[in-house]
Amino acid sequence: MTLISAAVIQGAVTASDDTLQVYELSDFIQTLPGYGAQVLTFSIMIGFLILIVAFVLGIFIYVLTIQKTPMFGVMKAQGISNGYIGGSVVMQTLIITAFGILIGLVLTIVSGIFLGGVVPFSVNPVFFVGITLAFFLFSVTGGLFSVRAILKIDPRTAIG
Amino acid sequence: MNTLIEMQGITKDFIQNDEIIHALKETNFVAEAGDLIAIIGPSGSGKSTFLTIIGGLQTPTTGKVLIGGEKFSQLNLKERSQVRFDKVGFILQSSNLIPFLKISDQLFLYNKIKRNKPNQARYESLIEKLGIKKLVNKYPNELSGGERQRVAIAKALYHDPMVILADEPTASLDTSRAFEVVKLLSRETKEQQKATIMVTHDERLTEYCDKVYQIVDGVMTRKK
Repeated sequence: MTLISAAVIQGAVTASDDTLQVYELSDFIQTLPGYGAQVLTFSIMIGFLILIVAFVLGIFIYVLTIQKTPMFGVMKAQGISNGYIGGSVVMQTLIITAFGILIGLVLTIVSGIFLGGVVPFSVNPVFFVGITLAFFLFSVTGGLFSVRAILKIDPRTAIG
Repeated sequence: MNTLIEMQGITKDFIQNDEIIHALKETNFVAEAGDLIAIIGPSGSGKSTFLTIIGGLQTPTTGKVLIGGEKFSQLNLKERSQVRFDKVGFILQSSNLIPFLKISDQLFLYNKIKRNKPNQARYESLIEKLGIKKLVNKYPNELSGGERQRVAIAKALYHDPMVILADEPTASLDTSRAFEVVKLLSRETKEQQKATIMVTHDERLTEYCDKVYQIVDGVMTRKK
């Protein structure tokens, strides 16, 4: 009859008998029932959440610009170049995104401070950098799609 | 007389449902410095076609437009856009103001794009003469229709263009405001020796105009 079902030891295991199997701590955690499945589920949820947010962000930026189509028509009629309008749209997209991300990061860290004791919460710099880049990428892509639409606006729409 | 813009043998045809539509039949037109010219006619008569061709927003089927004696309609899209920016001022129906800019910045946008310094003297004199001095720190949505069109006139004149093109500049105004706007337009045209071409359906306004043309079914005739 075995008296010990499991023992966790800091440092190297020097003695063991045949009835016990030795695991590294990280391997041991993986063998806990349901642990791997749970972590994977959460990772997928979080990953998709970020992807969807980035996608919505891109669409939002696109719609924000497209709403101003009549104004761009007037500007083009007045002879303001596509280059100037397109450049302004991309630049302003970057500014809005930068401010948005900054506010988001501050709110995340503040939430972390308040949640810290109750809910497990960790700030992973690698993830944060990755997410920031993804948000920039998607909003600039949204901006570029709207620039393409701006190029096609016929300045004649400003008249009549 | 000093000719600022002219049309030589302009025609414009469209093809719609395999049918050729003559939107503008052979048209010759001259606008000289100090002229306020009204173009009147029913809707669909070719007024907008006339204005878009003279403003370089579309190319004619035949003929050419010259601005300040230089070719305009034959230039490519980008060059025409550049010429419009430098030599043409637009006043549009519902006003051509940008909603997010203060009135002063609407005018200075020109300098921002040109990357040069604002012409403070010209700015001061325009806001004084057009009576919009108190409005310069407001946004377009805080202004009445008449005020907006006065700002639009200031904006069209600010960069000292040769030609002003106005598309129904009084459309959203009541009679007294409409007269006031046209009088201002007439005064500035004379004082600054511009050529102003105003498309309108309101024939009462023509009393302030030096020349009046009517367009009916693509044919333009001189009325005054």
